[in-house]
Amino acid sequence: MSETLKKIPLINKLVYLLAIIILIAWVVPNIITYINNMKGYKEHNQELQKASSKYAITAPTKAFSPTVFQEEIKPLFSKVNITELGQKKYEVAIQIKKEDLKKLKGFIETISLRYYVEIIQPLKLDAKEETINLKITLKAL
Amino acid sequence: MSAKQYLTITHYKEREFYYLNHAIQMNDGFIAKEIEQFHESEKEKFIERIRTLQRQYPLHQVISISLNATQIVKDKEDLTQASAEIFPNNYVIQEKIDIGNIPVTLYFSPFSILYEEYKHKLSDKLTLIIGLFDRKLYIMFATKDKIQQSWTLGTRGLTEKQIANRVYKSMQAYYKISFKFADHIEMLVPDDAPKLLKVLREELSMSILPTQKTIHTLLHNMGSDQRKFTSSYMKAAVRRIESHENINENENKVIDNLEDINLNHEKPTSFMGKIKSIFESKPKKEKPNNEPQTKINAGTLNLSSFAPLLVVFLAGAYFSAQNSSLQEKVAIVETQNEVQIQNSQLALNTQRVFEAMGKSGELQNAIISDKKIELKGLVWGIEPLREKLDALYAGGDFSIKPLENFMTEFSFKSKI
Repeated sequence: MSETLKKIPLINKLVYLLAIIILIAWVVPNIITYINNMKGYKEHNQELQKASSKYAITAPTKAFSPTVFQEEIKPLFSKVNITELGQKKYEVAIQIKKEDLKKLKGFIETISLRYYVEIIQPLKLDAKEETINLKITLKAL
Repeated sequence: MSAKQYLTITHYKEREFYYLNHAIQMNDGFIAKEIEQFHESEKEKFIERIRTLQRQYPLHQVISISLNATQIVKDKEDLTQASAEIFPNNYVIQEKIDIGNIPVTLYFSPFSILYEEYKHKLSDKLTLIIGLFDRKLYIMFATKDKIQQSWTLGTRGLTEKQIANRVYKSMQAYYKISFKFADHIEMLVPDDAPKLLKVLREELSMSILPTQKTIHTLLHNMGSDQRKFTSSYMKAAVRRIESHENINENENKVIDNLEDINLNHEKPTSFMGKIKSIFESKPKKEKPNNEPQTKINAGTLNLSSFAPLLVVFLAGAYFSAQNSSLQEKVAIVETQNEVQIQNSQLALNTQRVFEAMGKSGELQNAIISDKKIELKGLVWGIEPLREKLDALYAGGDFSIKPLENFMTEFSFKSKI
């Protein structure tokens, strides 16, 4: 082994040494970080999938698009209006009948499983007779 | 100074000093340069000086002498020990060659040197040949076809008379086994030693023909002609076993030199030594007849050697890119998880607020988050509503205000 190494020209040995140093100092830490990241990603993803299956959501989470979002939640509520606030923020004004309050609960619980969005709290509610007007600020992730 | 000149570099160690010399070999002899002396603490400098000479003169031999006291001339070759051939039935044997990391291509025994010096004088009559090297006497009884017997005598701390006495006893011992006395004595001394010669002559009662030559001169002479050293230089044990299997490779014996042996058998003792040895390139081998040496890629860069570096770079770049994109994904799913937990709490709070209203009141305005609430509305059952809200948000501020239409307004603010 030692004899074989001695036969290798010095400059080649230096190249090999450089390769070993780069491997130890750069590649190996990158691989370790990659493994840890992958592990963390899987764990968080499993949590989300668990939550999704609880609400029978099978479709993958989508990027937030105000137009698509408005179209998709229209059937749930009496009125839906979306206003862009800038910096990826949107104000969603919803009108809902008091008897459909359960739909509101389900909507809030699942919105972040269906879309990459965050609800900027608090919620603002105005109730009038049989309807509730709700204003939610969303931030696309 | 021509790089194509054939150079013999000679060195040996005596006491704590290394002695180095080099000579340019010509057709009619050699021109020796000044002897350089290095203290053993300057070993690296000494080695570097040899390397410099080797670089300056591609045609060279680095020659040294074995001053080991245990070497002896035997009739049979011992493949397990280092040996040098004098005659086909005479071999100088010593246990091993120990030259450290000092460059050597030819290594000679004093017995071989003595034979080379006196072979033209040898006849059927017995000659006692004595060589004085490094305070040791190398003694051999020789005829023209054989070294009959050999001894090595240490002279350190002995007077000339004691030395002479020991030589005499050696002669007596030889007489007991062969019933022969030497016809005459030849003595080779590297330095002027008149007193020793005088005492020897007196003690042995024989004429002694002295020859004075320095070790460097003797070694330059040994390295001057390939025919002189092709068979007579000392070879290491293992190497000899290998070469014995292929006797026909005699013509290539010159390349079977000690530097190869040294690299084959010298093992670095320390970890750092091992690392260092890895970075030492295999030395150049000298061709027979002192043809120009072939460089063994010591300074050339093989493109294929970049393959591991390229693979490492590609792997690093791949995982680096993967990490960047994966970190973004991880950040998103992490946020998504946190947001999901907050949303669940928010939905639960919203539901509870409406459930708390029940038939006790009617909600008009509400600000709801997962941690606090602010409510305003009409109330019919003050106490039940207060109790329910207090159960949800203990310590909250519940207040009522009578209205003109005989209705009562309530407001509730949770404690932060």
